[in-house]
Amino acid sequence: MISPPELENPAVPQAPAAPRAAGRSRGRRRSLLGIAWLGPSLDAAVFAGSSIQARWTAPAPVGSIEEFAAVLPEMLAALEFPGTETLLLLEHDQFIHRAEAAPSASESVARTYLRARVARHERECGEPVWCAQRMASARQDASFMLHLLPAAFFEHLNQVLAARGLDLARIHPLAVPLQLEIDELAAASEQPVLVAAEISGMTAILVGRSGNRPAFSRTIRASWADEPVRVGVEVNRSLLYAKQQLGTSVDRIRLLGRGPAVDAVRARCGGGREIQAEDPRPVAWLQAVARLAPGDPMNLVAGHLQGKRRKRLLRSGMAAACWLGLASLAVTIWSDQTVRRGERERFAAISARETVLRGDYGRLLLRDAAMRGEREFIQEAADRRLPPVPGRTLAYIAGLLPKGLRLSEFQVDWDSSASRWTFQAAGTIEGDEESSHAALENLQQQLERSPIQARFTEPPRTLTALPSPSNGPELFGFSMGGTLFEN
Amino acid sequence: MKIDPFHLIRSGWALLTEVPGWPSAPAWTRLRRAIPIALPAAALLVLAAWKVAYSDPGDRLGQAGRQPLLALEREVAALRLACTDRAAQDLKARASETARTLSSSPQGIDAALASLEREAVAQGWDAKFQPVNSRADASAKGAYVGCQSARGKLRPAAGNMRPWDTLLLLLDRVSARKQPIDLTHLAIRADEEGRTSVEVGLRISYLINNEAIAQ
Repeated sequence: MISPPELENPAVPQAPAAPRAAGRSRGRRRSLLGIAWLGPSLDAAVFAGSSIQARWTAPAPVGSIEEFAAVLPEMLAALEFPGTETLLLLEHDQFIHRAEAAPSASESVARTYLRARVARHERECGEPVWCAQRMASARQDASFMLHLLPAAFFEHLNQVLAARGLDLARIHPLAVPLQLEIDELAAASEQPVLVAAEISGMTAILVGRSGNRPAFSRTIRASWADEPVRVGVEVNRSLLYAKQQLGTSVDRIRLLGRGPAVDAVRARCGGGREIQAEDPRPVAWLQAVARLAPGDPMNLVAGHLQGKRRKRLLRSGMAAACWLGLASLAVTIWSDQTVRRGERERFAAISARETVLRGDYGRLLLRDAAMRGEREFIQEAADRRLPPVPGRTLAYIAGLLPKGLRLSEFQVDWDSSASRWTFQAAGTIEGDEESSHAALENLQQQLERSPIQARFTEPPRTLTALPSPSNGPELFGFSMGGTLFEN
Repeated sequence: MKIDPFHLIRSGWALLTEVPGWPSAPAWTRLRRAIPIALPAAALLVLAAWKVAYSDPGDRLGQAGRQPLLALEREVAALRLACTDRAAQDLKARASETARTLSSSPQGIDAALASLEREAVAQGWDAKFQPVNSRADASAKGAYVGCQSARGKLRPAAGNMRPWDTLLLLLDRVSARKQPIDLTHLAIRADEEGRTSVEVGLRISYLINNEAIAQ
């Protein structure tokens, strides 16, 4: 199903749109080929901006695509169209217009409903290209006119045009220019207008207000020349139906055709109504439609072209991704191969000296084992040594001995079980008891603060009186002991 | 949402091969249209398959085969980095120097004690040193260095008028010897008549396991 990009906007764009880029040259890009294929009649014109450059009318009726293809070279030769962008205003047997009343809950609900209807149509009649035209209604439901063109018809037509280098960018139903006719006619009025146009044996009727949605549109098989009464009856029925839809009567009628049908309409519907009659003017309709933007919601192929653009982008993206992925993988493989080649070369170099390596490895292992043993040996030899504590302690204490103090015993021992040095000292000291105590106290303090860090056992010392020589000073014996290098 | 895989395939095929404005293009034209995407995609697939199925496994296999030798090379480099040959030689020299100072036989210990006696005599002391205990007692299993205890008795020689100073000098000499002889016991006694006797305990280190320095 080829769907429009969105439902019709309420406000139809009035500003002339820039033509689509065609790509041949700057001058050609501005040109637009407009083809009005309305029933069997075929009119074409070339537009450059808003002006008509050339026009052409098919000399014979054109009913089928084959007939269209047959007259296309003559058309192009006559128009000398330099561009590619083509607009088609179409009314054809295969172009179906179907009124639908969608739920008016919301725009998305209405859109979903319409898509479902189109999907059903697709199942029954094949894939269409389509657009939905919102209709004005006095009732609460949302009225739409679905314009459905078989995709096969579109593709065939597109193929015929593409073979001539033409890009079919826009297809509009006849309702679009007829609405523009109403806008032009009733620009200053809000009164509804009925437009009826003769299209080669058919009658297209559209009722609406200026600048607003049409109330309804219909196409009936009634020739203005052969069935004037029926045309009058159908126009009158349309007036009555429009009154139901809009809630107000239609007082202006515009007839785009000539013949006895005009009189029949005047006779049946003329009471109190303003009726204008003009010739059909397909080229003017084309000109009006050409002013619309290519992305106009009433362009049947806008969605199709958007899809084509999306596909083109997707294809480009896929191609870019594939090439980038390929390049990336190639670079990765090349990089891996370079690294692995380097590894192989390094391995070859290592392999060449494998014997040497193994010899070195064995030698180094032996060397390390020997070093371990040597370190342990050196450490053990050092650990076994004892500092020269006894001699140093003896020398130190000898330097500290005060006058009158004599050592009679001195002993320093290494206690291997406790890993510490002990000492004992005994001797005599001359003087009274108090001064002897003080001297020993002083010696003790000096030894405690000295580098040998003596710590005395409790009691730190003993002092006993000794028999002193006659007329000599008092004599005391003392002893002390403790440990060395204790913190 | 129900997804029709065939529809997806058809859409993908259409996207790949659709010729704009020519829905009924012949197969060859459609295939040519697909080339810009299909060619790199196919090449990508072939390269990826070659890499995953052939190249990478082969490389992994090769790397696994090379691993032992590479590991050996890394190990040798690590061993060389851990210690230089010069450092090893220096350590060996230090170990040899240490070993040279140690006695390696009972005769060596006896000689050391005799040497001490001579040293004492030289300093004006009469000395007698003798080993105590058995040599095996002092060493733990697997130790490189053992210890031999010894005792000695010293008395000032006749004529030694400076026993105190000479004793300190003698003790200093003992400590300063290269041969590791440590003083573990020192007892000095002076009787009422001023006679001095000295007892010393010694610990002499000796080499009991020369494997470390023999390698």
